[in-house]
Amino acid sequence: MSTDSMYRLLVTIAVILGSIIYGFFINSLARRITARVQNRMGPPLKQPFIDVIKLYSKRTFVTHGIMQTLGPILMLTGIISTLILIPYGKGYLTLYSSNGDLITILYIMTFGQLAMALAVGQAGNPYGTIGVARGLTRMFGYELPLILALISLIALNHSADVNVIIANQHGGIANWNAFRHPFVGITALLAMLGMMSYQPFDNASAPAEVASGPITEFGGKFMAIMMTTNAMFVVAKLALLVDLFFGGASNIFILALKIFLLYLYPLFVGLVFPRFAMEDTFLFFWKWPTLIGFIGLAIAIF
Amino acid sequence: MNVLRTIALILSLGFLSSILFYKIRELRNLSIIASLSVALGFVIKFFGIYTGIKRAFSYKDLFYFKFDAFSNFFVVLILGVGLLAILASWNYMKEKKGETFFYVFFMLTILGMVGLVYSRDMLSFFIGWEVMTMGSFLVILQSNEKDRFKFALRYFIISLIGAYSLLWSMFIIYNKVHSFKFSAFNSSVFTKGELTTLLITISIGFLIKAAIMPFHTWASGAYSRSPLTFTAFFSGAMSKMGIYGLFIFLYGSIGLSAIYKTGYNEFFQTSYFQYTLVWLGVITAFLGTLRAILSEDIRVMLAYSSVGQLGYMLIGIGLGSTLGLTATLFHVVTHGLFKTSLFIVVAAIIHRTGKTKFHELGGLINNMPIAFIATLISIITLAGIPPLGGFATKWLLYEAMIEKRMFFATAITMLASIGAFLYAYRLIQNLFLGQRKLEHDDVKPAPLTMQIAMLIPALGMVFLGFFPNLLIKYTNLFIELINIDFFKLGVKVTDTAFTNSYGYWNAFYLGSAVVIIFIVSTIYYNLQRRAKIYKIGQLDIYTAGEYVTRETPLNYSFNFYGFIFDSLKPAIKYSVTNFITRISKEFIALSDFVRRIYTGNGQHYAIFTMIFTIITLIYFLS
Repeated sequence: MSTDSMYRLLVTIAVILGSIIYGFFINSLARRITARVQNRMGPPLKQPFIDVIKLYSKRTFVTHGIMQTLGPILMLTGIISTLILIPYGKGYLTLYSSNGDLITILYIMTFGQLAMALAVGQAGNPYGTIGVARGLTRMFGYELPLILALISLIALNHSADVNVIIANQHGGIANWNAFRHPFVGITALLAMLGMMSYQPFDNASAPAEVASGPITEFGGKFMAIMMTTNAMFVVAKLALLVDLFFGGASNIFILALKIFLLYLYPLFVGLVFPRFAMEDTFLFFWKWPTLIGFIGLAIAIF
Repeated sequence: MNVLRTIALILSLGFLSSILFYKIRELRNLSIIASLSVALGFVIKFFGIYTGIKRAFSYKDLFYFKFDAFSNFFVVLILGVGLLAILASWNYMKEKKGETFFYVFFMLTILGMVGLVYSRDMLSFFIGWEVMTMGSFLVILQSNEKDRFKFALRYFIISLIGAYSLLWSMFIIYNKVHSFKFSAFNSSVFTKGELTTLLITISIGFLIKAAIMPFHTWASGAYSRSPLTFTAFFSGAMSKMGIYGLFIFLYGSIGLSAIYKTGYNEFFQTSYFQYTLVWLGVITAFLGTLRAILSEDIRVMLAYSSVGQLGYMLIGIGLGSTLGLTATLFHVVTHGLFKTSLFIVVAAIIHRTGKTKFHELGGLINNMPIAFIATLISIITLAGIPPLGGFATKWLLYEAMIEKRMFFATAITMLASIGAFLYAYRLIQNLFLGQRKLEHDDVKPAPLTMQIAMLIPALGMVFLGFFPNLLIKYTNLFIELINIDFFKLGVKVTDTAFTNSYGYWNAFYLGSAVVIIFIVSTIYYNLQRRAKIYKIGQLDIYTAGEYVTRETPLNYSFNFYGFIFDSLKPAIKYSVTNFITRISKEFIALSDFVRRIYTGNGQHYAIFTMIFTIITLIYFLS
């Protein structure tokens, strides 16, 4: 192994570990912010770390079958595979993003979700399955505006390469895709609400409605892995959106800041709106965001 | 020794033995399998040697056949899928009504298909085409379903419309060109209007066979009512004959420049005709997927899934670029693999349980582990998730569409493939996962031959996921043969990476990365010393106070995506199938009215004659 690929590997491992820690950190901050809005104190910042360490050190000794055991591992595999295809900056921080373009990232993202869905199915809990069905329906909903936004970007940049899209936003806030192409930006931001699965689109887990949704049958180690992967997935999704629409980042600290600021947006929207019914969720995405997305795409092409 | 004659001889021997030994099961099946595998081995052996070299064979200057890489590509698919389907039928059709003639007509279908794929003139093409349609129609009649006549008849009538459309265009071509040979086509003797009409009639003939909307109405019935192992072949190989026909007629015979003559659009760099084909494909992919999501019957879901998947292939044909045609050919292979596997899995499940609806099944993973693995691999390929073979198609297709600047079409197609993820999940969840019904506790695993037949395609899908470039090397060979501007618009394939002007993707590195990460994750997960793991039953779940028993298991499977159904209810009630059904009802009403006059009773006719005479007399006398 040459020194170059060695460094790249080390940086990748650092980014993976860093994304776990940062994911928990912003999750914790979000919980405190939510608490302040609701006039509570909220848990301490270290709470998610304590939770995950406690859960991971638990011994799991029951399982419903092979897929329940394999599912979380496959999920971790899928999320890490997504993570390494997204650039987090320049140089070594582009990780392995030269092995797949935007379309590859979009498809490999679903790998982890499929693994999760299979694990839920093996557990045999109907509440979990309802959660998965809701989650997939919501995905079918928000993917339409999301795809429209991404295709617009590809059309505008004549490339599906995330690194090229970042490079084209060089030079100030006015050049960021979210502001230079407002229709595309609005579409992506609306689709992102569904992607982040906060209120009003938290139909999949839907606390107090379908038990805890997909995670109903998962405790102990399974739960720890799921929390870890969720933390990583949040960072991966936000980093991708920052890369595509908010100018990317020249170093990791600016990226972290941008990720946090972007994370606040679905959080605040969620604090204001109560949960949508499933049919409304689905139709919401296929109405206004899609219309704006079509306008954005039409402007991008012609 | 001529390769073509040998293949024809081997296959005819197989067909003859299926007639001669039609009552002796083992002898008949073994001789068919032997004939198919020898023919397959023969084609594969000479596939590599004669790529590029065309071996021709003609009879009395009328029938032309050619042994080249392009035809071999499809023949390998036909014989391979046919072999798997026959292998699976051994157990599936055993002691069922119609077992004896099933094999005869199956072999007839295969013979017709191999003939039409090797033919290089329209006459032998059409004979092969009709033998195939007739054979498949007769196979559908061998199933045990009660309503098979209705659906078989519908398939046959719609196929006839397509056949007449084809025949008509062939005669028009012969009238002008004075030759049936594909290579003799000369676009200069046609006017623009004639060419357009010709393109439309030819496409209708093939789109009907490929079940592209709005010509898909036969598909769900014919696919679901045939013996299911034949459906594996029907959907896996036979539906592609429409794609093959379009390929050879549009790009092999008529040619791209003649198509461009009918009207060329500068912006999309394609003709209006091809642009229409692309949109037909997009609409088929999207609506077929939507119908599949909302189906409650496993067979109907797979049928609509096939309709949708054929849409992707049509998109590639419509694009007409190297990248698009590569995507189509790649999808022909991957769809052949996963649909064969899925239909055989479903056949095994229906064979063992007798249930065909999603909500009647569930929790079969421990009864049928091999079927579960085959389904898992198939649905990952179906949904196009890397690192398995299905993603290559998706990537090639999207890049091809983006290259031609068809961005709206790309968006809808991508949405359709996300929809495929939805029904694919249902396929594994409602059949293998969830709660098992009490009556299915003793369901035995799939029969041995069916397990073999479902696992071989699964291995192929895994292989294609890591080495898609090997297949693309072959497809590039004959796309070059049919003279489309190669390298200008194409995909560059290095050892493992794909690159084109818009994007890149490295299949092998990505797949290896996923495998490595999986191994590392497994190690990480098992670092801690683990206690003994107990497997708990399906009733040991959190049910929020609901009381679950084995007799009434709590399963979420009926109306799985009810949300989508409720949301789209106003739009869903309009469908081509309903429209056709309504027309047929009106037609029956009309016939009923006519029947009241022409009753077949002589006395009624006498009364009619008398009334007519009296009225005439009154008219003339007054």
